[in-house]
Amino acid sequence: MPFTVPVFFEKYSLYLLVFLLAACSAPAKLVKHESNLINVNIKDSIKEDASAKQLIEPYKQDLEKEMNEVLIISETAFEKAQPEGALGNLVADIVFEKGNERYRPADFKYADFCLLNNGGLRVSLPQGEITKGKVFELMPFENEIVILTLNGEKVSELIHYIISVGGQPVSGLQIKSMSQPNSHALIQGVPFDKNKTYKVITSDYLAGGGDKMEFFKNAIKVETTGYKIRDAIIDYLTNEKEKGNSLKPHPGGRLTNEQ
Amino acid sequence: MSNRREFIRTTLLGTAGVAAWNFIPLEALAYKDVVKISILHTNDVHSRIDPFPLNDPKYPGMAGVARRAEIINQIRKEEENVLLFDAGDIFQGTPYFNFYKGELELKLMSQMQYDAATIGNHDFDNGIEGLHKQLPNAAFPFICSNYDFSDTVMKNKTITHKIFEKGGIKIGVFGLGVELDGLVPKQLYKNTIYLNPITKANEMSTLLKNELKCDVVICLSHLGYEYTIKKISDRILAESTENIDIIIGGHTHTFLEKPTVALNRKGKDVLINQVGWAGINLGKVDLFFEINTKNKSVKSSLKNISHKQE
Repeated sequence: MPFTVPVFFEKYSLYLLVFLLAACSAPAKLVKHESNLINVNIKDSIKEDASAKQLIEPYKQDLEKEMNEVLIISETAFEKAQPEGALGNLVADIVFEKGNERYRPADFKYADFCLLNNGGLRVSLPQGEITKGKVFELMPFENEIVILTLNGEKVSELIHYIISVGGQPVSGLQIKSMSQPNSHALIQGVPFDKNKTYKVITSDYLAGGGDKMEFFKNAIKVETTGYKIRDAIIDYLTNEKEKGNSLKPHPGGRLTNEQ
Repeated sequence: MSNRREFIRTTLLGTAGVAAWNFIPLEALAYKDVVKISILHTNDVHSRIDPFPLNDPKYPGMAGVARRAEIINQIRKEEENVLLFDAGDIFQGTPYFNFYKGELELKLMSQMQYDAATIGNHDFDNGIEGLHKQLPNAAFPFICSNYDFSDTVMKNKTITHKIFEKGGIKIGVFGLGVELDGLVPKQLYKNTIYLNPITKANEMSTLLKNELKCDVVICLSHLGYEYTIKKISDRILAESTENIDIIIGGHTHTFLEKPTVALNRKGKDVLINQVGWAGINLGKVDLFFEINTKNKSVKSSLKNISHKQE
């Protein structure tokens, strides 16, 4: 016959009492911590969890199918360059055209020109098939098209900025002597007038002063379209294909060094 | 509270039972009463379902949910008390998000049995409706204490705090989101009201620790680790509060090799951790709790029961 409960309590009452008091009076106390950073890497021997893989697979296949969709055939490659490049000209034209298409101005005045940044164009477009995946690579950001109303002074700053950085993608704007700091500009073919206000199409990122575009801050008016730049590019290429067109270079001569 | 009492009772009976058969000295009794809780965490996974491609210049072959899930499986096999958290920005960054709107991200997190997540600024990228629409795919709660959603579709869809009980330890968790103005277009976050995170943190942590008697208080934060500009960060949060033990951070994509030990306003330690982004790393913070604080011998024997998980 082993212990009975009373015998147990008699023998170990002291221990129990100490333990009970401690357990009841003090909360659990954090006495020590240790940390590990576990790198998740293909090179390690860790397998992939089968159920996670199974869950991912149909989405992955669907996505690849989607991303491999050919939007259009391009006749040339499009690359970035300064003062202007084929890629910048193309994307600025697309954003200008599609942005104005979505724009519903209360004063019935559409945007005058478009300014983007080379930094936002992430890859070149190849000659041949342009896939949807390629457009995602070109424009991975969710930036949206906005229309800013600027006074002449701010547009003058904008022109000086383009000259000082050696060129950025533009549409509807022409600067003939990029080497001269006070070169005058044409907007929609008409000489820039410092006494006028202008409407500029750009991305919400740049409108917030991104890429040092300080002149965009405190605009007279900021109007959003809710239209993503990437969607505008995809829509444009899809429309062109539907019209039976291939993708051709857009006219240059926007930012030049003519004497 | 009742669970806690039950744990103590079980331990007592269990220990007494053992003591009845073999004479076990007191320090050994206490030895049994160290509880280990493993906190696993991610932040800013940004829809990174697949690993980075092998030709990626910065993170070749790193990240990937299926591999992370397997690591978590293994840890769950080895550790008794595991909690798994995410500190926000689950969404945005790969076409998976553009096409499936966060559905797969949340389904995978549910499958991995995440216990909770907080909300990051990019989780609003498809608008507050976009986030709301994906909630049915999450089998875990979103904990956020400083966004007032009452005038949005997210009303009553998040919780301000939650208490987890593991191994008899009460773990109180609350969550903090970053200021949305200037970071997220208003048309996306709609009438979400951002409340001062320090005020809310003090309110929540005091509630959890003092009133609800949690043994440890964890903050899931999407405030960011620290800034050169004057902006509320995890560092500032730690020193401006007094009842937070651990901050699981995000937003700034900060790769910390090990947690920062900061001091709170009462001079007590606060652990701050953040593990980069994209699921490149899984953080693991092991906490050791001593149930009977009177036994010094417990501390010295701690080393024996802690082991490193690579």
